[in-house]
Amino acid sequence: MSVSSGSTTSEKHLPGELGVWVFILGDMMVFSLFFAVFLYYRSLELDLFIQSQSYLNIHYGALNTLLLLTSSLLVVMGLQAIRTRQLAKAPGFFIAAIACGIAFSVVKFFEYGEKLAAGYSMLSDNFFMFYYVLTGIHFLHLLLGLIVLFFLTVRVRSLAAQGGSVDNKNLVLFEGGACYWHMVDLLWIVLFPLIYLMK
Amino acid sequence: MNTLLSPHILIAWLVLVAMTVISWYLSIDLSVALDQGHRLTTSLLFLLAFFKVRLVIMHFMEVSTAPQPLRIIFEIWVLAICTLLITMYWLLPFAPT
Repeated sequence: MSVSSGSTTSEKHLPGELGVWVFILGDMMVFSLFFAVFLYYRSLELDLFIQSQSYLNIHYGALNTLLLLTSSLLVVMGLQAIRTRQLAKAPGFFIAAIACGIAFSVVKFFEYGEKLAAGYSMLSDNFFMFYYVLTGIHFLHLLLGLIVLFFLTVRVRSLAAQGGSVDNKNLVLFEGGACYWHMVDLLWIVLFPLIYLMK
Repeated sequence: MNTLLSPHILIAWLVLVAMTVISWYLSIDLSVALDQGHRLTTSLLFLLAFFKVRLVIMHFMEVSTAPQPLRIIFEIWVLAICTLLITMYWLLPFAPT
């Protein structure tokens, strides 16, 4: 990012509120610990982890990655609609992002169902314990994110109905909610190769 | 007309999708041949993943235009965790029996 030294206006802008960033960073630290712990236990039972991983369907994982990437793009566009005072357009983007999140959930249910039906549960071995726990905790974050997006959709629709402008107090809500959703996306971006792909 | 999709966002998303597809393809390749090359390929998968993470952070979360301290924290986090995980991957496991 270029630095305009001595300039009177700063282009730096903190999306959302500081509290959201503290939460996001904290959550990312916790997941980082999960990632490292996973790699450690994997090294103790390498053959088992590789063997058990082969029972996963990487296509589900890849599809879910694409769904979340697309949902993040849609959230960015929805936020942009709000910033450019085209509020009426925002709900559509947020709803489309929610749809991607729901599709992710459907894939997840399908995937878990398949694994359980084949006899692979959390208790099967350490790989599957990590698989269910890590993707499960991520999934809980995603469900929370869907609630956040739903809330943002309702709010922007009500603001649009009231007159089409968003003050700063409301803007930080949208920015913060959007950043939380992007965090859900980026966590999965790491989980996908970590759990499904690595050898 | 205010565009809702700026070029740099679209490009970021296309790169993210492309890297996901590449990783997808690489790993199909990986499961076919578990030879010495698999360590390099897995390392590449990690690098790709964290490159993608950084794209999301900088462009979608707009950290690239956020105050410098926040940007520094995230740049350090991406670098540190990527390095940590790849280092653990190389150092910790012994050769598959």
